[in-house]
Amino acid sequence: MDQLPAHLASGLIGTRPIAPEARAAFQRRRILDAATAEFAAKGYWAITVDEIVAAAKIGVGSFYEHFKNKEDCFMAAFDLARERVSIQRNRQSSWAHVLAAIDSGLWLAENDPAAFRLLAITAPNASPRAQSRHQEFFQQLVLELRLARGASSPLPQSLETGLIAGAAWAIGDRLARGEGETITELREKFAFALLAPYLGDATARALINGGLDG
Amino acid sequence: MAEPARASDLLARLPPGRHGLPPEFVSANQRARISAGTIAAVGRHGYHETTIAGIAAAAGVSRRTFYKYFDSKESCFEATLREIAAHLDRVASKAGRGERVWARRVRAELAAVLAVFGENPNLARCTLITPAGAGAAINDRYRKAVRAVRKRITVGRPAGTRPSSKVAIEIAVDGLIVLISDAVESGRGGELPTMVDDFHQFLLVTYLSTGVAMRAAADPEE
Repeated sequence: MDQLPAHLASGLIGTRPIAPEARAAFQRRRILDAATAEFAAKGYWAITVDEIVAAAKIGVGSFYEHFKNKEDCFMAAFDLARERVSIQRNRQSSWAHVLAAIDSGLWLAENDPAAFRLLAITAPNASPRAQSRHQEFFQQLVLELRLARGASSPLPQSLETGLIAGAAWAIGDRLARGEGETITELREKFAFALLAPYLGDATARALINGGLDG
Repeated sequence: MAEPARASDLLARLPPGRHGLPPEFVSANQRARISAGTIAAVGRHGYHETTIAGIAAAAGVSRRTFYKYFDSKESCFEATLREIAAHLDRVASKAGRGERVWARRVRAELAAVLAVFGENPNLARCTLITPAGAGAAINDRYRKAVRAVRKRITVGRPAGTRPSSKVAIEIAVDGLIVLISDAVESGRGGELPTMVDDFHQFLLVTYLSTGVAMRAAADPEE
């Protein structure tokens, strides 16, 4: 049986303060959202802790309760954005999984352009630590495509790196031009450009239109 | 303008005092040294770490001379980027001029540009890596240059190949830039000339998809 929701049960109303952990978590998230927007708009180097604090409408002291410094905050914002791109972690990759990863990237670009820019454009130009975190994420995507491709392919060595980086920049460029809302409309074109080099035109199109089992 | 005796005179130190050199030569010399100094300073230290004093020092000019030509680090870097882009454009055009077959022309242009980047790592960093983190005006200049590269590649594409989407050519060119940047960043810039075939295939495969591209790359006469 469902338990009676707390707000319908008789109890002491408004006597207990909100748990400090809950407040802290909300505040942390608020700082990260503001930091993501600021970093994505102006780049890692142009932003100061003071600007993040102002954008998040919190006190400087609160910032340092959550983060050691600007870089620490950037890394947390990066990790938060990264969790939103789905990557298959099992070794049995398939083209359907690749397509799902492409879709989640495009979805993020359209629905949270700041988070996408942070992942794709800001991070590789940020501090050395942020760059290596970005590299690690990037290599994960490259590996995903390599596994799907198979070992004995005559395709060029550079294909995966070039395709993923090229797509990230092409999307980032559209976001910079304020064309973010058209990105999922271009889903077919992006997915086709990424998959056709491997699968050929007909198979790629069938997969994208859902007519093929990955 | 009075022709300097040698091209290297453009980077030579000017004699002190009343030297009687023509003012056109003096300003060309100073501009050239500021460009070279910008590439050296930004290529070595990165855009944000570079100051006007740093550029002036690398160029061997005074801050006052710097301000005679530019009002900011940004306008100076932008002008330098424009010069680099114009030079690469000439180099590519010249390399591709004798090639009638599209895939072969693209390869010749690519090889020529990779040779420039391979020999000049500071210039490669300034051109390919710096602009993304260097503010809106510079980014605009950079994107403009990238659009010109896309156009260059699409010109003369053989009839009968699948018409590629705008997205495909964007991915191909942006991807190529990252591949070159990665090589330069990881200290393998000198090996760029050996990567021509791989990068050429990447470009063709991404732009045209597999079958057509592999044929075009293997036997461009076809």
